Amino acid sequence: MAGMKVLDVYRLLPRTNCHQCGMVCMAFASALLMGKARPEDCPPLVEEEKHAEAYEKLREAFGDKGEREATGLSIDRDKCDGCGICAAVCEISLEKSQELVNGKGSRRAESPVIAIVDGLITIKNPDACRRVVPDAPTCNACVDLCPMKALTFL
Amino acid sequence: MPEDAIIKEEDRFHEAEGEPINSAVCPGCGCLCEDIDLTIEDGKVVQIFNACSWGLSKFHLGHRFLRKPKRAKCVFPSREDPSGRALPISFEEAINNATARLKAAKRVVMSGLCQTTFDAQLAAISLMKRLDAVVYPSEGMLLTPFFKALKSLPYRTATLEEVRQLATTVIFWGVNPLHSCPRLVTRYAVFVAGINAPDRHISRKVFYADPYENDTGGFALRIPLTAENERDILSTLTDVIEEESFSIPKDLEAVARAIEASPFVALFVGRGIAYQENPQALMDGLVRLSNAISRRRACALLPAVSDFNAMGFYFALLQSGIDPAGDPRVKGDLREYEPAKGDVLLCVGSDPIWFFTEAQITALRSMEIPVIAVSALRNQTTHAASLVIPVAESGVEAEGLTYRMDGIPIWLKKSLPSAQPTDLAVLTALEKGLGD
Repeated sequence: MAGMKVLDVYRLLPRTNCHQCGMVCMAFASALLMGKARPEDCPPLVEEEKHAEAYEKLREAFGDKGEREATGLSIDRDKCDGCGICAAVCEISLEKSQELVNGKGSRRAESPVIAIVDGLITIKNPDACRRVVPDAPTCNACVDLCPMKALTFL
Repeated sequence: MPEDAIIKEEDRFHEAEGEPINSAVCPGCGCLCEDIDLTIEDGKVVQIFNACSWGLSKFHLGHRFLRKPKRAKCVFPSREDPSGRALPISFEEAINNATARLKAAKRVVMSGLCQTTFDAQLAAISLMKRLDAVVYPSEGMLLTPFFKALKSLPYRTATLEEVRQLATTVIFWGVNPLHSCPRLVTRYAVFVAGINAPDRHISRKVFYADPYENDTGGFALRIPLTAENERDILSTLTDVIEEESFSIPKDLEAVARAIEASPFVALFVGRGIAYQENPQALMDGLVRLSNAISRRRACALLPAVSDFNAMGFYFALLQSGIDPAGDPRVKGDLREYEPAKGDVLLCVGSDPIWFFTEAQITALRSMEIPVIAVSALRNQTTHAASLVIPVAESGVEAEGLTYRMDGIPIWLKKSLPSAQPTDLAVLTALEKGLGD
């Protein structure tokens, strides 16, 4: 993604303005750059063989950073420094890990929603996240309190 | 629920298979986190639980700090031949080469020594005495003024566990904890429940004093100041706390009220003080502030050190009969080093070239000052060094005693085997090589 401008992204898109993603191709290019869309949101790009190369390039550019997890949580791995604030403020993770309550990181055997693995936030137990559990109260604590702005909900 | 919140099996977390090591101690910073779970496979760390990015780089997965290679090491000690190429030499040859350079030096300048074990620090100090060397500890810009201030002023401190349980007001002065010691805020200072702070960050008032806004602002209020008025602001705050004044400058109102309402205040100080015109005066002022706070409530003043055994080095100086606050051989800020013809720079576990100013680097080059680097990782100093002696990485490949930022001793475990000698072995061999 580094150095890519909106026209560079646009040139990799089908440029048919089919609106299957809900917008014209130029707007979609802009949305990709802003992290508000992902390459998979463009059906012709995914389905048509002639766009395979372009699709791969776009996935390479926009797939690693801001990878969308099962919870809809987008993690910017370049910004995350693994401080663990997201895990420490996650009420469900605290319920599931006594170690977290005690100021330590969760252990292997525990199943918190969020764990810090290889220096980065990792969604270990997405089933338990309030954003996935039906009728659970909405919770944005991990996103709101991340000082590095590494997290967003898409 | 958003459509994309559907759980897909392939998105789930996968735990690496291999030999598990639980509760390893992290040599990433002065927090010395002891809750690191590792998975080892074929003699390499393949998965790390709970380490921040600082710790990650130490356990050889530092793809963001070091990019690649993950294990950035020279296999053998190296030397340069006349054509400029580095050639591998044996450990014995390296020690002989180093001792010859040290013997021939008019002055030996040692640097680093805060990222190694206590035994190695004692050996380094013995070598320093033997060579009558001067030393610039890598945390000298913070800890030398700190120990000088403590020499003349009463000092209040506490353990990090006490901070966690009791502190309800936390101040970071000249330190961005997210970059100096990333897990300090989650483990001890802000986002953890304590006896006096059952609701974690909600129960605590957190402030940071910095000339610029930074990411600490995500959970702390800034005490606005500039490089020019920092000491004045500190002095005014101290006066307000001492006198419990009702006339408080608006910028200091929030922090003064929080201190007044708090039974226990934690004051963390960092390297940022070194960027002030007179760091010693600022450090003295911070000790005075902690004393003023302590008159009516508890207060802990703690140096938020980034190098994992920085406190250990100062304890080692004291144990060796050297006053870190008065001995002229113990220096502070590395940027004050003035290279002179005949110097030899001996760097142990540090990267001073990264910190040097352009003028210092130019002087080093023009005076052809030999640099001997004893290092586990490749860095700018090993790149510029005329002799590199690779060693096992303390805390990962070598065990030993260390001291946390609050002075608590912690034993660093060895998690990985290493073919390299330890810092202690190299320093001991260097002293032995000097002969009688």
